[in-house]
Formats: sequence, structure tokens, C-alpha cells
Amino acid sequence: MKSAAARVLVLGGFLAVPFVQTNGYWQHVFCVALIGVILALGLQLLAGMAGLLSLGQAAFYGIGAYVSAALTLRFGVPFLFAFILAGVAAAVCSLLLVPIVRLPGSSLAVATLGFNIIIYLVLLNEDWATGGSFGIMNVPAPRILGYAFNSERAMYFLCLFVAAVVYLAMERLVHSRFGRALRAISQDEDAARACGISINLYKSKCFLVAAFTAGIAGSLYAHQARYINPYDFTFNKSIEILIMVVVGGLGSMPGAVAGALIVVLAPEYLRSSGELRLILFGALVVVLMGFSRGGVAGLVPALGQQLMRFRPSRPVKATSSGEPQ
Amino acid sequence: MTGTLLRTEQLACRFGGLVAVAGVDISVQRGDVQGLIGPNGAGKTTFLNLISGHVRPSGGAIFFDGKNLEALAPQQRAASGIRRTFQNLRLFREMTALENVMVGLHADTESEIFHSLARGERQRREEREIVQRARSALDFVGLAGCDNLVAGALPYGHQRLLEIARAFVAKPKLMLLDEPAAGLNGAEAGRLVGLIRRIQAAGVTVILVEHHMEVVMRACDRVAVLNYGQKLADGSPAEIREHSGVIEAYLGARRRSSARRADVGQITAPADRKSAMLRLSGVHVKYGKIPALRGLDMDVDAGEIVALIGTNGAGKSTTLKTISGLVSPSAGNVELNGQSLAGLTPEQRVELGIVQVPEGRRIFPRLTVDENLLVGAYPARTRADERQARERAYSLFPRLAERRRQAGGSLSGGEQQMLAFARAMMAQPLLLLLDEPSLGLAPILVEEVAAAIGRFQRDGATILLVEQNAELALSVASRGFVIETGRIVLTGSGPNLLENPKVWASYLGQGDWEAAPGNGRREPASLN
Repeated sequence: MKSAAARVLVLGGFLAVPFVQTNGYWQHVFCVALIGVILALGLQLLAGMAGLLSLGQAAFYGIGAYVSAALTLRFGVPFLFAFILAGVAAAVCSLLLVPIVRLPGSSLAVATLGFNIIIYLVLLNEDWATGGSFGIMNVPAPRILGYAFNSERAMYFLCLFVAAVVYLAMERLVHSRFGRALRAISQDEDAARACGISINLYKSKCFLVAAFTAGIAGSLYAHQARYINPYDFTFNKSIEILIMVVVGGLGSMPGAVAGALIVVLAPEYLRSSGELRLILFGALVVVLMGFSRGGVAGLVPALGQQLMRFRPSRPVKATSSGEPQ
Repeated sequence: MTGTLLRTEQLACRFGGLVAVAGVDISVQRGDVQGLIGPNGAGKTTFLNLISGHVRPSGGAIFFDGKNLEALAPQQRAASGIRRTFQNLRLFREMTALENVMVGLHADTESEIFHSLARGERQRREEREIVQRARSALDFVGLAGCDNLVAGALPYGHQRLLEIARAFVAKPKLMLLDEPAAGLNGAEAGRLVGLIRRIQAAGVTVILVEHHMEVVMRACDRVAVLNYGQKLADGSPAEIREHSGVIEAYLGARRRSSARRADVGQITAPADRKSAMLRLSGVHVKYGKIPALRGLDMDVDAGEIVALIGTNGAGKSTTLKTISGLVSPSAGNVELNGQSLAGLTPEQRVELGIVQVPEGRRIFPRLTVDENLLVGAYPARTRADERQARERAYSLFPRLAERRRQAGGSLSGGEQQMLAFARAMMAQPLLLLLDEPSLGLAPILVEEVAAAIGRFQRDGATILLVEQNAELALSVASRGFVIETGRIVLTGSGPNLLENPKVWASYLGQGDWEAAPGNGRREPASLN
């Protein structure tokens, strides 16, 4: 199967990264990219599958990060539990959005953005719990069954493992009764109702899953960066996650992965261009969207076709020669 | 089991000041195919929406299987055995045909997030069962082998069948079909009757809203007639056929049709081949790898009405899109008054005077009638006298003038079609492209459409008319072209083609399909 081979190849590539790139800073950057992948996968379920444009994912990311950091640091909860509880806490907070899931596209986007701002203000001002603008310092490295993920490389593999599990989970969800219901809702709500789908219930469930995903990503971030503060979780981060998904291609899980890698890594690679780097990054995004509305995921098949044309021998010639130029 | 499955009591529905359904009592017997007919705007679709729960009643009650449905949301009604199709195809267009039907089983199945993640034995068994049932439903409607095709890319007739499969797959107690024959040709409509009868044989009660009278008469056990939101009559198809009130309200226009034809005949200019206003030569169009037009040649002279007729998927709409610039040909030429249109955008072509009235009307539902018309006067050369143009449009369509402050979306289907016409007129078209103007309209409105086309011509427009309804098209056109698989296969004067048995054999207009040999009795397997 072609896709199985592609998967092995991609996984192999990811596994090789920390061996090829031994520089600690770059390993750190790749780790951040993998956390971005998890965030993008969560939003892809919301925006790409269910058509729910959320600008509040960074709020759940922040909730996960703070819950995980506080639990391990203050209460000595083992990382694994803190990691799961970070997801659960974010998911529980997503229930606050239940009353607004019925809003149409742009109103929902603004409402979730408002939610993000509220959570940010809570993180910033409730000093007794969150450390206010100083945030939480000295978050411990993850420790699972006695093994401490102290090095950047170990942390990278932990993030890779979580990202891979989340990817497979999303894939299963997309091709299940749940995923079909979400896709149906995004394409025609009336028809979905006529098929027996409870729209608001499924939208709420989708927010729940996406919030859980962002929550565990937050936990990884807290223990990887070792220091968190409210400025990491403003709505700018939400917009960054949205850019990942749109650049990668709405509706495509591999696209979400590619989008996250591009959004995190491209500015780093452009660092040599100094002050111009963000302008170059912006231009890259604009050009990419100009070429393919389907993002990277839409670009790959198109590029594949282009490549086919340059192949010296082509068995499809008989059919394509009938095509007038 | 016999007895009443569905009963409405004084069911009523108002939209603002408009009474769509005004106290209707209907009871549907278990196992019947119950027809529901009536002129456009009679409240048929609203009635279905009330039963499926998509619209809330303003009075009265619905009893289904002995229970009052009032408190149930649409998805709960679906789960309790009421499934429906929609007048304007509401498929999940980006999902495959199989997935569309699988969604139809949503209420019958139960795996949730955790089951899908764990992918345990029970979940896999359920998934296999869903796939299997969905496949057999596709098979049942005659779409075997279409499993992995994206729904939005299926030919129109197949999309109609897919929607029926999605509703049927859950073996509902009651199926509501909203104009399933709209846009189907005679042969397809014949197969639809067979399909409805097989749905009935599978133990499903059916309510069928339909304009295609032959389908109604052949498929239904009982027929109810709505007019102005009220029940006008109820009875067997034969009784309804003879009911004088029904004939007057619904079919009255038929008797006038011969007079109208003569009227149109008078004003049709004799064709002058040399001065073709529009000429298409050797036009090829492809969608990806699939050829839609394969060397199409046709021409339209100034001042005439030309009809382009053919079955679904023959290339009619593609021809119009090629002329209006929405698709570009891979080979061949499109010329307007001797000048090639190659490279011109659709907007530039509108400036030149090529105006299309798209299939499905595409009016702006939230703008008022007035505003819809003003949007139509967008081209620069028409903006100056837009008010005058609007008044002229109103004088041609007085019904629109009565509703000038009403939102476009609140008009009935027929009125929306009138609005689409009037809007196109605002651009002062040189060449008017009409795509399926009769789609989904009651016969009386089809007559009005024909009359409107005549008025356009007298107003100086040249018209290219694309129609499923060959009878309508050929009766108003001076010349006709018959298209089959992307090529013109037959051409001649309108009256000539109208009498040509070859045309009727393959492109049956509504009402005449019984006359053609073999049609309507073909097996569903020959659907492709």
C-alpha cells in the first residue's frame, strides 16, 4: 500500500531528526514544531472537519500548560497524571463554549477569540494561582516510570510519540461514525439533521476533543520549556495555529502536520535574513495560498502531476496526446 | 399493518405575513404512496418541512405512529423513522457517495468517540454493517459501483438517487420525497416511478411532492392537492385527474398552450444563417480527464430563440458556461458577432451583453426584490438608467412589483424564477442564456416562463434556452439543437423537432413520455 510506505518513510524521517541535527537549539525547535503539530491536528478536527472556525485554541493550550505545571510543581503529581489531567481540564473548560457552538462561522470565530482573551486575562491576573505576569518557573522535566526526559533529544521523542498517537487517533476519528457526522454537519446542517444527527451535541463533542488535544500539547510545552507565562497563550497563538491548518490545507490531517512544521520551522530557517525574516515568512504564506487554496495538502497532488509531465517515458501519452494544447 | 401512520390536524405555518400552510388535515395510510401536488407556492415544501421538523408550525398538530411530534427536533424525528430528501439536493457534496449513505445510518448506530479510538470488535462489526447496508442501499437505487465517487461530482440524476438512498438506507417508516423528478428526463422519471414502488414494497410509506404529473399519477395510491396553503382535494389519482377544481388551479394553463404557441410563432424572425450573432465551432471542454463537450458546433442568429435540448449530463450547462466564460474550452472557438471571446472573463462578457440566468435561479435571498434587480444592473452601460430599467422589468412581471420590498428568499420557486429573469433583463442583454428555467416549476408557471421568454424576445434580446423540458423549449424556439454526449446530433426548426419521433425517443419532455416506446419500463440496472 502506497500510504503505508509513505507513513514508514515519514516516521523514519522524524526519528532521524535528532541524530542528524545534534545541535541542542535545533532539537528544541523541532520539539516545539511537534507540539505545533499536535495543536494543528486538534484544530483540524474543528475547522477542517466540522467547519468550526475557532480562534480560541490557545486558551485550552494555556489551561493545559498551567494545570500540568501547577500539579507537578505544587502538588507533586507524577507527570503522566498531570499530562492526562491537563487534557481533561482543558476539555472540561471547553464545556463553557457549549452555549455558543450554535453560532454561525464568523460569529463563532469572534466568540472563541473572546474566550481566549478571557482565559489570558485570568492567567495574567489571578496571581495566587498562576503567578501573574511572572508565570510559573522551574517546571520539572517529565519523568515517567523513573525515567527523566532531561535531554532535548529525549523530550523530542516524547513529543514525537504523543504527536504520532494523536495523529492516529484523529485518523480513526475522521473515518468513524463521529467523523462522518462532523463532516456532514460542515457541509449541510439541515441534511445532517434529517439524517438524525444532533448538530449542537456533535459540535460540542468536537470542541471537547480539540480542547483535550490542545490541553495535552500545553502540558508538553510546559515541561519542555520549563517556564510558562500568560504571553505564550494570547490569541496570537490561536491565529498561529489557524495559519498552520490553513497553510497545510483545511480538511487534511497530513496537511496539518506539514502546516505546523512550516509555520514553526520556516521562520527559524529564515533567521539568517535577520529583520526580514517575518516579512519573508509572511510572503511565503501569501504565495503558498496564492498557488493552492488547498494549502500544502492541495499542492502535493498538483506538484505530482507537474513532475509526471517531465518524466522522459510516459505510459499515459496515448490519452494525453488527444488533449489539445 | 394497516391504519393511519401520519395525521395532521389543522396544521398551519406563517412566515411573517405570509401564510404558507393554513390549517391542513391530511392522514396518510400505512404502506401508501401519498402524493402531494399543487401549484408553486401552494405550501407543499413547507408541509414537508413541518413534518420533518425543519420548520416549526404556528398552529395545529402532527401525529406520527400515534405520537404527537410537537416536542421533537428534526434529528429526533429522523431517529423515530421519518426521513426525507430535499427539493434542491442537499448532499454532503465533498464526501463520497458511500459516505453520504453511511451518514444516513447515523441514528441507527451508536459508536462514539471512545469506540472509534479503541476500534474494538463491536465498533468494527458495526462499521462493517454500516458499509454493507450503505452498499446495498446504493445498489437498491441503481447506483452500484458509485461507492467512491465524490457526491458533488455525480451527474445530476445520480445525485437525486443518492439522496433517496441516504434517506432509504435506515429503512424508515415514512419517507418524504420533495420533487425527486425535478430535472430528470422522461426515461429517468419512469425509472423513478419504479424505484418509488420498490421503496413502497420494502414496507416504507412515502409522501411524494411532485410537479411531474405522470410520476404522481403512476406512483401514488392517493393524491392530496394543496392550493394557497389549503387542502383543495384528496383522493385516488383518477379522482384527482377528473376533479374540476384541481384542473383549474393546477393544470388550467394547458388549455391555453396552443394559443400561446401561435403567438410566439408570429414574432419569430426567419433565420439568416450568415449573420450569426453567436457561433460555436468545434468546441471541446474537459473537466479533468472527462470530456464534457466533444467538438460542438452551433449558432444563434440575432433576434431568435434557440433551444438546446438533451438529457442530463449531455453537456447543456457546460455549453452555456463555455459561452458565459465560466469554463474555457480546450479547443474550438466561441464568437460573438464575428469576434472571438477567447481570453475574456465572465465579467467582460457580461459587459458585452452576454447574460446568463443560471440553473437553480441563484437569486440573493436576503436582498429585497428591488435590490436584487438593482444588482442586475451592474454593467457600466446599464447603470445610468437602472431605475427606468427596473420599472420596465416590473411592468413585464407585475407579480414582482407587488413584492418589491420582500426578501428574495421568501418568494416561491416560481416567483424566484421570475426574479432571476427580471434581474438578467436589468443588464440589457444582447444575448440571454437561460439554464433550465422550468426546473421544479408547476405547469402553470412553466407557461408563464414560456410567455416571459416571448416577452424577452420582443424586447429585443436573442435567447439561447437550455431545457430538460423539450416540449416547452421547442414550442417557443425558432430553431433547436439536440445535444448528446457533448455533440450536436440533430438540428432543425422548433416545430419540426417537436414532431420528430427521434427527439421524443431520447429526450422526452414532460407529459409525453408515455407515448415513446420502451420508456418508463426500462429496468433500473440500465441507469447508466
